[in-house]
Amino acid sequence: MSDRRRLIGPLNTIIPNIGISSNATEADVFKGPSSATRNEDGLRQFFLKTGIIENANGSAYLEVGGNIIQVSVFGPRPIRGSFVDRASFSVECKFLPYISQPNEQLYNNTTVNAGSTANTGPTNANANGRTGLTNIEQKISSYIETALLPSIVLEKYPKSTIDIFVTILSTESSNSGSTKVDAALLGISNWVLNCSSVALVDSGIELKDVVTSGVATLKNDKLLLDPEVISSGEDNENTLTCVVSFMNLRNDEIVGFWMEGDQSKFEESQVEQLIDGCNNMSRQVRANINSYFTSTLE
Amino acid sequence: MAELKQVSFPPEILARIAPDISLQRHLSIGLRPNLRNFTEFKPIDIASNNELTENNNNVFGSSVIKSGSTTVINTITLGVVEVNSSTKSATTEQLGNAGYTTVYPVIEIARGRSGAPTDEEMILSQTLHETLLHSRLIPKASLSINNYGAAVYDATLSNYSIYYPDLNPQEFELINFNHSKSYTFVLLSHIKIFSRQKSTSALFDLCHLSTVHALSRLQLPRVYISDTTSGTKVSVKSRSSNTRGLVGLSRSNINIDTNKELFYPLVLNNSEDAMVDSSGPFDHSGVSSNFGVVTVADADKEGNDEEGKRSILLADLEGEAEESAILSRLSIISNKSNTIKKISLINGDGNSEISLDILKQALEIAKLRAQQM
Repeated sequence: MSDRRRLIGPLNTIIPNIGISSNATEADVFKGPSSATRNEDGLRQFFLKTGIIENANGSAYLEVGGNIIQVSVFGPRPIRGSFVDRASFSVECKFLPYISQPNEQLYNNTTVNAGSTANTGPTNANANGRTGLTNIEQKISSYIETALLPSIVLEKYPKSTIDIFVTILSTESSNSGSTKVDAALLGISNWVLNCSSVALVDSGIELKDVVTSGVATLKNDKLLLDPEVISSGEDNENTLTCVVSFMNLRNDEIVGFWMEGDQSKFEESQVEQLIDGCNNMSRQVRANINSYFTSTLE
Repeated sequence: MAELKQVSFPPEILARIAPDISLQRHLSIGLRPNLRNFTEFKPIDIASNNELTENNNNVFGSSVIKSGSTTVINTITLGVVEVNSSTKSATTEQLGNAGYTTVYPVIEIARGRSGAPTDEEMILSQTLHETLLHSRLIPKASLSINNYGAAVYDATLSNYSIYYPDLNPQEFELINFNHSKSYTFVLLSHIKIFSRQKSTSALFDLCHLSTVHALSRLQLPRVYISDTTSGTKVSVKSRSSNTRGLVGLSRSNINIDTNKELFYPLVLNNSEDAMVDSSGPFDHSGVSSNFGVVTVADADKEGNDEEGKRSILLADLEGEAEESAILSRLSIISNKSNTIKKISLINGDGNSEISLDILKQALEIAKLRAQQM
């Protein structure tokens, strides 16, 4: 049945596949953003700004590499109905509809185009009419919710809700054709989490600590922090990717852990290595966020 | 008996609990709550870069505009629809509005809720959809797909080559290509609005402007039909659901050629004027302006008699007080050649009716604004 609330075009609209280029020379050239400058600590530079959304209680905007993330915090807002002694907390993470999501062939049940080599076209479904979250959006939302929940002092806000709305405006994997790499999905989740923490601070909601997180990849026993998706030929072979979230000023307590990759022959030492890497990155991000907030006070 | 004390509120709280009183107090001292002049529009910034189109190869036209903190992100993606070949012969002049087509916008306003679209989003989408149709901006002919190509698998090179009847006539003749259906593009637009500060009618202005801007920069790609037999259909159990999905089967064999050299701009009606030049892309399409009418009692004249009241025209409504207290509204689209494309009048407030003088004043301002845009 057609959607009577949205104008999604005539009923028999076909969404064409994004095919190959008839110009053979440019076919394999990656057209995404060039790789970002890395600091001495191995992390990419990121741009952060708070408070640009005026109708939200708190907001943050973050750009890193080709990823652009915007987070709005609404709350504490009163809820109807019976009294509850603590706030409820929810996170909704959405990609803008035209963006192809990382790893969507794996999780979102999208089809691979027959006559085209670069699988950059998301689906044959009209994305404008999409209701609800995709599997990837749900995965990211539930990770953010789990990781941020321990940091919020929910008891302070009875009979209220605190809602976080994340909009992903751009991803670095959207045009590279390399949407099968775990680093793309975990990388964006990592930055969504950091951005959401900053937005929570901006909203003035009481927090136990600012949750920050790091992402690391272990490929052939080589540790890489904050991996980015550059070439389209990458795959997940012999690779472990992990995003770990911490409360760095509360004894580095781990509040979120998500690992993907070839887990057939991984060892405890590898996980330790990854967690240490993520912790280092998390501290760096935290230091940056701290100095951002001190600079806004001046 | 305890005496009732006078309660006083800071301005921002008064604006929320008693928007009409707050507005009256501002206007009676000659100020608007947003500190603009009565007929002053909020400045609009239009992003000059085309990053969204360049970074997403399913986006063919885009526009980002900002007015204050309100940000509108508009992206146009393409759909394809099969057309009945019998209707093709008539020219655009004979068909009237039927010779033109429009955009299918889905507007989302970020305001901390999820679920079905709000009334406001639906009204904005529908108005924009109809306004663009009636302003006769996009002729149907400029969206029809001519000379679509065919993809042929080359076994020696193990890749696909695309041949077009107009670009590669010799090769094309050799292909056994039987595809007589005709297609046309459908323009699907997604408009995301962040930090909504302005009234619904002011948001319409922004949506209209951003759509016209995105249309003027829209580049249409070439289309080719791929070989349907080449797709191998494999039944694979998907992770997310119990149904067996067919991997490798695409629901359409219509493909977009990503070769940017073959992209061609969308031809808008009266295209010489409408295309981007030094005077801007807004000529034929027009610029939308919105106004509100409110009656104020002058502060220096006491009493509620008729003399102390006057109607004021306010341009580009913004903020809580203006939005909820001003119910008489005008929305006008005018273009550079002084043609009025749309007038919408809502006499929502019996005390501040839209008089002829006010309408004239609004029309003049709307025309002037379209000239200067």
